[in-house]
Order: sequence, then C-alpha cells, then structure tokens
Amino acid sequence: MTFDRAISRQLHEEHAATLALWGRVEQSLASGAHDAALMREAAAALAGEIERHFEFEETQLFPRLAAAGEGDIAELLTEEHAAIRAAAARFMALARDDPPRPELRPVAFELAERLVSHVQKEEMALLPALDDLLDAHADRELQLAYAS
Amino acid sequence: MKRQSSALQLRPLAPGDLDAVVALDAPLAGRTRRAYFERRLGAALRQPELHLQFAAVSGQDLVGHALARVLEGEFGRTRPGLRLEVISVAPGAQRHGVGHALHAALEDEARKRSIGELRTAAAWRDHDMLRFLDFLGYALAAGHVLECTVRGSALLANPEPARDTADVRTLSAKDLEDVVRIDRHITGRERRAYMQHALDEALRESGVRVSLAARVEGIMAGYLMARADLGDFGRTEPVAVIDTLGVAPEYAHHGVGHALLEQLLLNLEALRIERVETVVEARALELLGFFYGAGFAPAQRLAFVKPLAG
Repeated sequence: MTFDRAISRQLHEEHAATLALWGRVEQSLASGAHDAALMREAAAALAGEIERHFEFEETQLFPRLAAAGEGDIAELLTEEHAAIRAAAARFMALARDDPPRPELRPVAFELAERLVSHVQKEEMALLPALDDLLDAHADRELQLAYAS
Repeated sequence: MKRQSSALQLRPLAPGDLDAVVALDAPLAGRTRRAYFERRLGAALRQPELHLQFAAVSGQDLVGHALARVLEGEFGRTRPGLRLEVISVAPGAQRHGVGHALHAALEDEARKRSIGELRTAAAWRDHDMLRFLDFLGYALAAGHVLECTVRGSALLANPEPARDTADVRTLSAKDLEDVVRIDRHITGRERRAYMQHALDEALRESGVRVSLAARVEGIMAGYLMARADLGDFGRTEPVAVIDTLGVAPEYAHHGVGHALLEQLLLNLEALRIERVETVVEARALELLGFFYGAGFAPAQRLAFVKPLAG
C-alpha cells in the first residue's frame, strides 16, 4: 500500500509492526506453548500503542474526519478503541503472571483478533481517507503534533 | 418473529446473545471469535436490510444460531440472494432439528423479502456439513470457487509488474459515478444502489473491505472489490473474497485487471491475509481464463444453491 501523506505512512509503519507482533502472539498461542517473554513484550507494546497511537487518532485525526463528514468511521473506530482498551487492561494485568493463569489465553486470542481486524480496517479506510482529506500543510502540522 | 417446535424457540439474535454465541461457537471453531460475532451483530443492527440472524433457544439456553447476508450485485448477480455464512448448533442439541429449524426461519424471512435463493459454500471434506446441506435441499451451484495463495503467488513474482500499466489506488466515495458508468457498460444494468452499499461498506461496515480503482492517464479504467472477515463459512483463517471486478471495455486486454489483482495481493500480504477466493459462473469463460491465468486454481470448497419456491 502506498500513501501520499507522511502521517499516513508513519501510522502505516506502526500498523505493520502491530500486525507482525500480534501475528507472533497468535502463532505462539495456537502452538499451545506459553512464551512469557513474548506476552510481556506484547503487553508493553500495547501500553505504548494505546497511550500514543490511539490518543493521537482520537484527539487529532477523528475530529478532522468528523468535520469532513466522515463521522461514521470515526465513531466506529472509537468504539473499537474502547473494546481494545478493555481487553488490553485485562491482558496487561494477566501478562505479569508467570506461570500464566488460564484466563490469559482467551484474552490474548481476543486481543489479537481485535487488534488485527482494527489495523486492517484503519489501513483500508482511515489512511486512504486521510490521504484524501489532508493537504501538505495539515500533514506537516500533524507530523509535528505526533512527534511532540 | 417467533417459532415454536416443542421446547425450541426461534427469534432474531440480539446484542445480549453475544456471550452465549461466542461460548457455543468456541469449541466448534477451536478458538474464541468474540470480535467476529460482535462485528456481525453490530452490522445487523446498523443495516437490518442486509442481515438475517436467528437464535435457537431451549429454555434459557441458546442452542444454535444462524447468520446470513443479503447478496445484491456480488459475483455479477442480477437478482437478490441470501448467503448463509454461519449455522451452528451446540453439540448436545445436534440431531434434534435445531439446524433445520434455523434454516427454515431464514427461508421464511427470505421469502418475505422476495429473495429467490439461498447460497453457501463448504469444504468438500466437511462431510457433516455436506450431509446437512443435502438434507436441506441444496444443490451444487453452477459457479466455480477459485482461490490463490497470497504469499508467493505467481502474479507477485512477475518481474514485470502489471501495476505499472495503471495507477491503482483505494476506491473512494468520489469514484462512485465512474464505477456505476463502467458497470453499466459491462452489465447493461444500473446497479447504483449495490455499488453505493459496497463503497459505504469500506468505510462503515464491520469486516474489512479492500476496494481498488485503476486509472490510466487519470481516467478510471477498472475497479475491484474484495471483502475479508474471519469466521464466515466456518473459516478460522483470514481469507479475502473478490466479489466485484470490472474493466471498462475500452481498456480490456490492456493489463488493467492484472494491475488491480496485483495491487490487491500486495495489500492483502501487508494485512497478513493469506488467501484470496472468488466465485465465477461456469459460463464466464473469459473471466475464468483471466483468473486461471493470474494463478488462481480450484478451491477445496464447493458452492451450493437452494432456490426458494414462492
């Protein structure tokens, strides 16, 4: 996928990293093994993603989409963020335990399913919409805001 | 709508059924699919005209569910159909007519909506499902199910990418008029409502829709739409289904279709979707040739149809 705007490209790279990490988590869970280090890595990455990536989208991008008449997708993605946050809170609490509690496995599966689907949705709907919506000036503004 | 068969009650699925649906499905699918069912139930609430979903309840327990989606213009269709995507019965309630009752509820509702047929697909090795579909009166459909593995596909290995022949981008709402115009040239029909729904779905629906437009010197030359959702037809691995493909007659045989397909495979690879599938009518020889030439092969799945008597 190719995107014209720098902010779209940056978010795309982060999405790719999320897909790769949670693909590994899914494979590990499907194999029946318990990789405590991988679960802690996933929990740490998730905390960062929620704090930075989600927050940026909700405060900077979704309001712009809504103002441009794309409020439906902003609303849908916000709902998905809320569901991911709820599952993430459960996962992060459980990922600390070693040996793991049995509840970790279904929560990790749920989170992998939610995150992968959410990223796919953003790649196919949010980022192309941003490419259409933003001009070069707005793109630079958003890059600065994301970097700060 | 309510039906009663001894202690069995049928009613539309409701958001409050989610936990029970997920619990019933998990042992059958081998994993929990909460997000999938949550999306499907949410989509039915937002677009009830496109979704039929029933629960079978015995006493306080949900013992089965069925999910189906209305087909509009997918796969070149000319009349509405209903695609059965999920039908599950709890192990303890199987062989007691629950699946049959759920399917009958779908049929009744389809007739009320003037839908003329039900369609579905199943793996040819899924003997229990094949027996069940036979029992329900399904017959083999005329279409061929074709598939292609995304990673390592022949098309992506081509040293001279076809996508260099056209500028392929994500389809957006502003492309609607061009898509409707090309589709009208190809099919001779006005399918604005279907195309509008398909475009809206990319932005607002639950599953992932990958829709692409190919432009040559700034002019729309073709489009492709595919939909991916983990869970339909008992699948537990991600598969994208191409349901709409059109190339303007004046750009036929100029590599536009291959350019669209290549870009789709690249996008799916980035999204970690491993296979792509489509259904082609048996008599659409040119389209069959196109997909076979692009590296598609017969899928290990069969397409079924059940006409509904008025």
